[in-house]
Amino acid sequence: MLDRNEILRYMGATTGGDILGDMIDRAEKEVIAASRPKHVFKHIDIAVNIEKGKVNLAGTDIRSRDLAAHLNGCNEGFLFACTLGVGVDSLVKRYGLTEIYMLPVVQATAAAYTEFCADSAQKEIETYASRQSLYMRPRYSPGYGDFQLSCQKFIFDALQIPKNIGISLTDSFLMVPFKSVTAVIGLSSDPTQCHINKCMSCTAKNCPFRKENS
Amino acid sequence: MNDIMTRLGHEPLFFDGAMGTILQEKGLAPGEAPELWNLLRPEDVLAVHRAYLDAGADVISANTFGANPFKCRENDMEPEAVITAGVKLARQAVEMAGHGAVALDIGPSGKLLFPMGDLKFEDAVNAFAQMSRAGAAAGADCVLIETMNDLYEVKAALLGVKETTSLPVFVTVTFDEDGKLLTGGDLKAMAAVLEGLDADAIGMNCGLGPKQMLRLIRELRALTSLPLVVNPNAGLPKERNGRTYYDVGPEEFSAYMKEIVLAGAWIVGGCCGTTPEHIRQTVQLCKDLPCQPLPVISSTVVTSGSRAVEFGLKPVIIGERINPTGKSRFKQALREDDLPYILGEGIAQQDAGAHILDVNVGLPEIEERAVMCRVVSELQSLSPLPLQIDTSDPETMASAMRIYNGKPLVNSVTAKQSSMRAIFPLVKKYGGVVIGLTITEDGIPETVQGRVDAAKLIIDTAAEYGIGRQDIIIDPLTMAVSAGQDAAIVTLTALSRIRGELGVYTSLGVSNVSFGLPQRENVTSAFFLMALQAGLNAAIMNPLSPAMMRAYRSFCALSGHDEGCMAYIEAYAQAEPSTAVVSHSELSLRETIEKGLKDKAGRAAEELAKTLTGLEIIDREIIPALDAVGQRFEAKTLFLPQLLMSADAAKAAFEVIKSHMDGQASEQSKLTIVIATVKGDVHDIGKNIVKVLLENYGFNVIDLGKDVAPEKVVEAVKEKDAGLVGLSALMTTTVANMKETIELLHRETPGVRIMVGGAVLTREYADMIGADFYGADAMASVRYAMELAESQSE
Repeated sequence: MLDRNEILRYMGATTGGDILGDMIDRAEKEVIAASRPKHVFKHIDIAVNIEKGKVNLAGTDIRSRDLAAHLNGCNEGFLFACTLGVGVDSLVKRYGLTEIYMLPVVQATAAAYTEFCADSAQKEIETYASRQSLYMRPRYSPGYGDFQLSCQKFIFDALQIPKNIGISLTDSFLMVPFKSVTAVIGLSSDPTQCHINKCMSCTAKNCPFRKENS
Repeated sequence: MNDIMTRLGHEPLFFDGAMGTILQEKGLAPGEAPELWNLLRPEDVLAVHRAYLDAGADVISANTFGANPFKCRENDMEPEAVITAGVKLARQAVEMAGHGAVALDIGPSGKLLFPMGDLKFEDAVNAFAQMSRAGAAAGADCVLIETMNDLYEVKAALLGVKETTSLPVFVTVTFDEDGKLLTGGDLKAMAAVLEGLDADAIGMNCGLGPKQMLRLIRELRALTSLPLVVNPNAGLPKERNGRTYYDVGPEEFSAYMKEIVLAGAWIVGGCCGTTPEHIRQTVQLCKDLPCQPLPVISSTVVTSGSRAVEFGLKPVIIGERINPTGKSRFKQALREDDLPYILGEGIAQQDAGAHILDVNVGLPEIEERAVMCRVVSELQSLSPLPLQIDTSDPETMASAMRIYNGKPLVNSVTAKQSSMRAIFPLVKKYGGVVIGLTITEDGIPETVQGRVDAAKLIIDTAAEYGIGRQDIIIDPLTMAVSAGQDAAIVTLTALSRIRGELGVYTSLGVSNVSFGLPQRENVTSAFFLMALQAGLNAAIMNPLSPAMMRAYRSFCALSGHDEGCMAYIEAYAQAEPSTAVVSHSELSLRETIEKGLKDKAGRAAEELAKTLTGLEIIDREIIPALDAVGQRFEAKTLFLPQLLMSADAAKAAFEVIKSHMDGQASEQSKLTIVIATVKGDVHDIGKNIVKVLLENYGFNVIDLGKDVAPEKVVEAVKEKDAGLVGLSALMTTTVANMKETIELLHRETPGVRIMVGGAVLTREYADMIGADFYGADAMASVRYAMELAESQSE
């Protein structure tokens, strides 16, 4: 059972009630039925150069002050990707035609399910981290802060994402299927978590989770 | 010429093993393109080829897997240069070894095809054709299309290769443990599509180890008459210290490969994690095994990109509703390019139980070919059902069969020479099951024998084109019983004889039987049952008709096609047939819209239309209701789903008003608004929601769709004399295209207002790029449009 409050927030609702609750129940069933979650990840070496605002991931330099700040203190980590598959794209499209009022509900539910699947897939990385006595940083994705969307290409090549889990990248670096996540996950020996003021440096200004003063 | 095809089937043949895995051991960095080494480190590539030939491989794959134009562009490589170098290296290794053949290796493009992704089908075909030309010119003996996880892309690749060379083509796809492709296709669909497209051998590679493939190959062997190729990984990928490795050693690998050969594979080799030693031991263990004879599979199967439908099992329902014949609302949708309406008809039939959807968009005043291709393509991105392409225009048929994802049902061919000459080559080239109508040069034969003869002529002529009878379904034609006493009897007798004597499956368009009679469903559903009893395998019918579906489900339950009557129970246990006539709604139209009750809104509008004009209903009931809901949305006492439920209810009321105005536009058309998702952006949900709401308020909305170039927006504004443009962008990368579109609009159409919206936008940014208005949510856009319309009318 997915977190109802999270789904409501995704669709911009502050309170649920019976009507929305029933819609979410229905959307949850259909989204899960239409999904074929797949994930892939890979261990990498990480070198952070905080002064220059650069990160080296598995031998490739990436310029991003925010990513450097986020990974500061990490010497290793994982590249990570996860998708619900094309079935959910069809489902969303279908609701756009037949019952448009379900569209925001299905969208929000699918977004919550994507997070759920990514969190579950990540458990294997957590196990690895705890065996090595390392701490895991939250997922950090291209598009957050100044971590350019064009860096998707690097992650896609390194994980062979199209071949392994079937996500493809459009010319403007959009992922298809839409309900997909790519991220860098840092591991560090100190328990400090997310160093950056994640919300305020994010470009998604209308994000329902945005916290102005966090 | 190499002898690979003459040896095929007489002795097991062997492919090589992994290339990438070994190059990585030699220092290829993660993410680096292996094909680049054809130019930078040719001696390392050559050494891998030589090791595999030395191990006994008969076919080595050139190091060209990712040398498609898209990946080459990313890596600053010329496809021709990389492919030529790759094939020449393999050639060189063969010369040195004194044996072996070279396969041009073609992997997936890494892109998802339109309309799910952004790679147009013809662009994909061209890309693969470019690879194929270069490989053939450099001396490849055959082509291996491998690691494919999307049947649509496989089709593009096979067409690209076959249209440029006559080399043998082997195709292997990547299944997961459930026997499914990443895009959902299963073994049966894969076999049907690849056999239809005339691959020389098919099979699987990558993703799984030999143990998992053994199980799948046994299944696949029962589904196709083609030779099988099997190139597994050295087991399933495993993690150690967070790193991927494969742990099935040469001995275990070769033992499974022996089982795979015994299960019917003719060509075996390896994929990720396999080494020359894996191949050496496999060759030693398998080289003296006999090749199992190819089975004769004569099943009749059509597919979408993910689903197969087989004839001859349970009777198949082909939904007939996507067809303008006799439907004024559908004709209107075609003329107005109202794709959502047309697609909605498809989804409704799918939900009602159709197995296949017929698509007919033939109307004299529209461009049939373009519309057919769009409907086919969009419908396939929404529905997993296979389609029946229904057109009398061979050019439309050719284009639609080409871009179709899967193996289509083709409607139709007749026993006329001209028809068979036009249609059979298409079926041969693209694959498909074709419906043969028993119409001869002299028209429709009146006798049973005449129709059987016509069917036989179709089957015999098809054979001359290399089309087997499993790919033909005969329709002995339903005639109106009102026009001839024995019309139904002739059809049914012909049906039984064709099924029994000619060994093909049958279909009928059943509804024609009741033409000219009152309460047609009585006769149609009775005839349908008689035809099913006479052995009918497929019916083109209306699955939205309860009477027809009652007949169908009852027949299935009674004839052993519905185990435990589960389908029957599922359909009818809940809904007791209600005998009470639905009384007219006790709620006012305004209330039904505010509560978002679509059905009741339609009925309430129906009542009002008896006494009020369309405009009166809109002004007195619909607009006030929408305003009330809009205010509650803005006050956050209700949310987007409820706002849209009300919009849906209002739409139902508008439809009623429209039908009473007899097709005349009921919109007040106070303002024409062009909306689009900008170039590069394929997220169109927000835009679609805004569209629904704007239409509700009576605006004339021209929706240009997603990924729309700036010039197209300008063109539409000029052509439609639009007063307002709505642009949506969701990504930081595409906001730049929004700016570009606005600049072009300012230059070319200075008077038009522009509103923008999308997740990454802010009011400040909207101001900066020169938009007139920033819509924070869907209602805000409506409010702005209304203000603008009022100020313009003053």
